[in-house]
Amino acid sequence: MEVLKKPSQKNRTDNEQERVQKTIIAIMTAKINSCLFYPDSERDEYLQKISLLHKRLHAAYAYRALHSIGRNVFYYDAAHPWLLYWNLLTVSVVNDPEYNLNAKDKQDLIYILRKCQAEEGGFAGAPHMKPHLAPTYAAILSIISLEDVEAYNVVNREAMYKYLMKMKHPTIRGGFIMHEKGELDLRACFIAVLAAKVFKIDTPELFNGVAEYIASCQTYEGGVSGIRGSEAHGGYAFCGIAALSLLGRMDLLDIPRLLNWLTYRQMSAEGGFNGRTNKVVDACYSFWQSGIFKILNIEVGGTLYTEEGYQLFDQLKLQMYLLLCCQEDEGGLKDKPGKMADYYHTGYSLSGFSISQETRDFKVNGQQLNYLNNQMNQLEEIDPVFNLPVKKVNAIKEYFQKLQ
Amino acid sequence: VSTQSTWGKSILFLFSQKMEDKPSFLQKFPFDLSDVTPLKQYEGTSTIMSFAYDPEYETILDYFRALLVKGEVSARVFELSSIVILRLCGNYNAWYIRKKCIEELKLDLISELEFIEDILPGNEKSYQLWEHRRYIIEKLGDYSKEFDFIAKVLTEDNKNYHAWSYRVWLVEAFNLRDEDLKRLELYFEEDPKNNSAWNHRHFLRQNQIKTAEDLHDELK
Repeated sequence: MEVLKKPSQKNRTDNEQERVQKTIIAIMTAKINSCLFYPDSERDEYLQKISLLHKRLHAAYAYRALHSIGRNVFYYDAAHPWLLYWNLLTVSVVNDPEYNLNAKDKQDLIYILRKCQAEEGGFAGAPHMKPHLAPTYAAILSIISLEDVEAYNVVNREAMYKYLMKMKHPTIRGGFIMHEKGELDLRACFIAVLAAKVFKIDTPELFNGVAEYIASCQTYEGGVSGIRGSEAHGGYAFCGIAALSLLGRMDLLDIPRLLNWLTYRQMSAEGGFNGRTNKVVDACYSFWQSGIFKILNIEVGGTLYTEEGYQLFDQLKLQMYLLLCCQEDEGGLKDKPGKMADYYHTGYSLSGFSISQETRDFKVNGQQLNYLNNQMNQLEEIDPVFNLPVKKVNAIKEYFQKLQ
Repeated sequence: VSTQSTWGKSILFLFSQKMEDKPSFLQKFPFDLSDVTPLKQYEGTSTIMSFAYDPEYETILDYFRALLVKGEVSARVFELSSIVILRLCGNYNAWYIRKKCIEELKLDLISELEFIEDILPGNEKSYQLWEHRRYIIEKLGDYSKEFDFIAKVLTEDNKNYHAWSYRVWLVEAFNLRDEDLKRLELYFEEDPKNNSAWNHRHFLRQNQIKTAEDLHDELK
């Protein structure tokens, strides 16, 4: 709140932060203070109403996209699997019986995934294109989300393995590139590790040096960067930690330093998270950052809580940001006020919201944390490494476990 | 249909427009594509998601897909890759085949830098664009224009992650630590809270700080 008291600074960081923060505080206070227009007896009802997560609207938004995206595809024409995953994530996290997929829907989506699989292995952003690790990741998560044996069997595992091996960086040990003649990037390491683990095609040769490379991307700030030397960044931090969790090599990280960086990512005024030091809030980091908290928590056997049993970030403040500032009236969620809702922000806001509902005792006594105790906001529990409902992740793990 | 109704008038208008009035992609394209059978995306069927496109864009992509599948490396594919990139910078396939053409046809690398400059507006956060620049500069071995290129992007957005990551690569590839340290001063003057600049300084200095004295100087 100190930024608001100083006069406008001349530097861009402070100007940006002030601009965003002022808008968000204004929206939140206006919404909450409007309860004063109501008689005492109706105030609680009003506050409950404005802090409702419009689950059905968001599920409908995603469900409609899965059934008719039309010309909205354009910007994502090299990313069809993402259009599936983001919306499947939303639909499955909300799990509204009105907007769940039926068998025919699943068949139709499996068709799209089949067409995007490349003969050389991996998935492309569209049919007849070369494979790329980003749509490969999105396709795999879509497959997991469909929770269907036919979907699981779409993947040509031998070809996938050959493709992942081809993506190893020619000179940087443990590094991976995103596509043939493409960029070296930490996302690629994570995606390769995840793909190999899910389909049981992990070999020492494939993973040679990966854990060490990822750990070398932890910066002095404590977060993780996209390439060795660049800035600690929420998206890359998530990728790095999720990968190390899959590899069982969290020991390579400086966890206290990571936690320090991570806790500072939550904005004290806005309540949401930012991605890097001195940058503005963005709803998608609700998942990238709180997902890390959950992965760390699992790593330490579920003991990463305060004495009162809360996670190491302000869970209700995150919820308030998403509820009051990021919901679009027609469905979908947005980065921040002033932006438009999109499928990506909708999915990640909701999975982040789900994580914010968990307390130490929520499995024991069902104590879910919801702003103003609004239990109608409850969402499905998320597996943080896969960013999908736990039961779906368990289903595919079980399936490939049996195959062995 | 009565030509007096607005609906009727629009139909007349449509039919009166000769197809040749609007130059199509095929007519504008400087190479012959008559031997190529355009390849439809989902076999021309409408999937559950009903992907829909502007007809000209769809035609361009149908030809591009056909040539990509064929694996052709040629001047016409190179030209087509430019058109695809102009329509969608994020189409990594176009960048891939472009590199293959550059390699096998031994195309001019300097004009690639010009191409990148031309399509930069609006695409400052394109992974493909930055990787292509890195690839070209690596081949050229000439970094003389790069600080200016990075500065141009950072003027607009002083925290552009791609720009700073590219800068890390540049400094390492050409051993430019000392030179870059001097340039970095500007960024601290302009915005002392720019964390990307601070991170970059740490990257530049980390191997240089070896004694307690070095550390003392840095803290000052």
